[in-house]
Amino acid sequence: MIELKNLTRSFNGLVAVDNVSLFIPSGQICGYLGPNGAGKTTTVKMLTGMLKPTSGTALVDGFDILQQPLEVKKRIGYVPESGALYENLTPLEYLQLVGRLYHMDEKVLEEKIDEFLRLFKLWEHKNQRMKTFSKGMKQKIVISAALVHNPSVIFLDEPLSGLDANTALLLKNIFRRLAEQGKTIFYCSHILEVVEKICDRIVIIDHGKIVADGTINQLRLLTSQSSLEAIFSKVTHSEDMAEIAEAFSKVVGTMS
Amino acid sequence: MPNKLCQLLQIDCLQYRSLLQISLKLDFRSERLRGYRGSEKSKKRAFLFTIVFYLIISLVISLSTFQHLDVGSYAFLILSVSMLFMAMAVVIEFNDIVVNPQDAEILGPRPVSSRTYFWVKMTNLFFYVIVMGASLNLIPAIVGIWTQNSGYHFAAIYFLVSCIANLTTAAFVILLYSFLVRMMNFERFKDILAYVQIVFTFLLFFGYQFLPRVMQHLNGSVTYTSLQAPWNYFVPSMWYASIIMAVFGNISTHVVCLAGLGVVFTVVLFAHSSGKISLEYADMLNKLTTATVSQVESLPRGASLKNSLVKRLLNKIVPDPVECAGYELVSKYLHRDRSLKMRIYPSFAFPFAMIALFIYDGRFTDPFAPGAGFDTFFPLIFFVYVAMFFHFLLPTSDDWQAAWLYWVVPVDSISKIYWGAIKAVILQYVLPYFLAAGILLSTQMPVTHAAAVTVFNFCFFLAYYAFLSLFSTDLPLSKKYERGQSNFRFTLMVIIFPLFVIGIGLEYLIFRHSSLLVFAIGGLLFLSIIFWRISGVRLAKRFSTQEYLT
Repeated sequence: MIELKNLTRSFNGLVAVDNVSLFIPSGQICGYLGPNGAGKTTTVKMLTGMLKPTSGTALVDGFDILQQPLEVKKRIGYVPESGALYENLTPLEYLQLVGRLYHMDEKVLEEKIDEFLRLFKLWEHKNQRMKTFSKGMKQKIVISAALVHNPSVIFLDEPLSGLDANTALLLKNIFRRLAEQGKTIFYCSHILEVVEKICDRIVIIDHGKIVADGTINQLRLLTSQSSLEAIFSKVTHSEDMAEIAEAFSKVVGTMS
Repeated sequence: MPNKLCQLLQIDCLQYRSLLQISLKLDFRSERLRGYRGSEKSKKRAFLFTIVFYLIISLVISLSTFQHLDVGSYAFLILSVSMLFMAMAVVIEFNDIVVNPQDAEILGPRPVSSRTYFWVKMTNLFFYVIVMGASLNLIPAIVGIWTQNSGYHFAAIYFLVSCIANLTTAAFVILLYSFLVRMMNFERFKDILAYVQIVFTFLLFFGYQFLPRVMQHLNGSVTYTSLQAPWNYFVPSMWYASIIMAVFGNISTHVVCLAGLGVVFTVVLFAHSSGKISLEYADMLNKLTTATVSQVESLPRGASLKNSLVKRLLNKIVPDPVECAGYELVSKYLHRDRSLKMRIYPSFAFPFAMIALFIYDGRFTDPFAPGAGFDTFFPLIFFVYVAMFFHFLLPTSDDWQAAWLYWVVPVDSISKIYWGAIKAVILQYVLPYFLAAGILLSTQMPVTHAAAVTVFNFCFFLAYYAFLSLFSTDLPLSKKYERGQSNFRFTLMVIIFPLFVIGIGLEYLIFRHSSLLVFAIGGLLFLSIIFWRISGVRLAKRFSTQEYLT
């Protein structure tokens, strides 16, 4: 479970996350949406212990992010939006490093790495440095590194970025299964179709505040809109995209 | 690290070992844009050059001073050099070991305690400090045996004290880092680092010129006792030199106080590092990944007028739009890219230091005057050293991955971008320097003579810069900068020093026979054009035959 209690973070007077309170029970996939700069990544960084809140706190799997950050970190898996990893390592070296940081049994770790690499069809690349990998291959390693220690809470920040359609489908199924096993999944994404399909609940934030919270059906009723795209546009007060697109395409056509 | 020590420092032994192993592995694995003629060994080679450079420096300094100094003053001098070099190395080459936002991104959500992480980074850094410290101090430790009042045991005592002094220097730099990161955002922090590096390099070059003058004045009469003064308490290298003196049996109140200060400083610094700093280290790194809100800078008044004038002038100098793109790209990066500035701007210190000291010494003389010496040529001809920096470093950038653009733009000749870059360097950096040098020279000799010296050296610079392009022609900002390249350049400078001497000799002969001057200038310009033509053709050929990322 994840529980946010009046979580707030500001940077030089600019409030990025504003007094957010939220409870996500175990086994739920919660889609966390918002326009660029709405405060999604800042929220995740606070929940993963990478950033201290200005005020408020949160419980992750029953542990306070301020009082017991190491206990929180032991129980979470995190797929960052940046997909950062040590590209000069091989997948084997990188996953071994991650497993050891969680004090995993060497034998179990080897077996798990072996399985992950086979399932993601990266087995033949296990001794190849990751700097030569495609974005999709790297993303598979980032996801493996987030799950190798069997976390009970998983934070996913654009996890399907760079993945082909088949792998994306595989991962969506994996996330569903993991939720069924009782894991809590905090899912940040801009791909509304995916969120609509796999999330049990959708939270939309804008300017650091929650502007919508509920299941897709509840949000449809609340906003009288049929698609998540329209709901999102309505609650975040987006500009007329068709008008902007028209103006942009006109500029594209101008040569001199 | 043994388990008991891990427990004492409250760090997780398994995590410590795993992270340290990976850190060292990553340090020696190279990253380069494939398709360029770079090897996987480049990082190791750069580090090896650093070691060789330090060995040469320490050999030169110790052999040139050991006869003039007693054991205490010798230890003070060598420790000062060693600690300065170590501080420079940590600031310039190894700051990314200590302060690396990528680590925070990857390891931030992992259950690694701040202490464990801190000691991994410290051990990683101390590995380099010990290796570099050994290369800086091993030869002086042995040579020091033959200084006045020394003995065989000097080697062991000096070497041990130098290790402690170097580690303390590195720890002190980290203390400053942690203070600065706490006080400001990462961008500002990197600005400060850039300024510190430039100041360090200027200090080094001025020191290089200043030290022989000091030695000349002292004329072999320097002893540890003659150096004793209140300023000793403010100079850390004197504290550590005093520890050596105390071990040698000099236990006067002054020596004991200085030695005690050294011991207390070392203990307090390491206690503070393993306590407060290690606890806050993870927070410090996480702060680096935090978004910073920047103010939108507005153009100053008159900027648009200035811009339009510059634009018109630019259209005349670089009329080709592709060449102009190369010119603009390099101009902007040389003004805005902090890393590039940190690497290139310090090279100006060398000729600037020479000009300042030559004016101070009154060594600028009219080269056309009967009996004139070589001196006037030195500061100007040494500007070719700056050419080496531009040549080796302009192709490097932190944004090197954006070089894919060169492969996709539909231009008839990719070398036009290269010409644009060269024009930017010459017009914005080389020409102003020679104009300023010409004005300075005109205060020391007739204007026409000053102009002749300036024009000749400017053409010599062009020929040398063009000559370098024969060895490697890379497009601007297209390669990753490898750690240790700064020291590689210093080493190169030492190796090619005889070439400068030959250049100065030739220049002297030409000015002795002034009728040759016009032909020499013409010849240098001709050579420049030929060299750049050849490199342009080679560059175009390379791009036409080589596929990007294959």
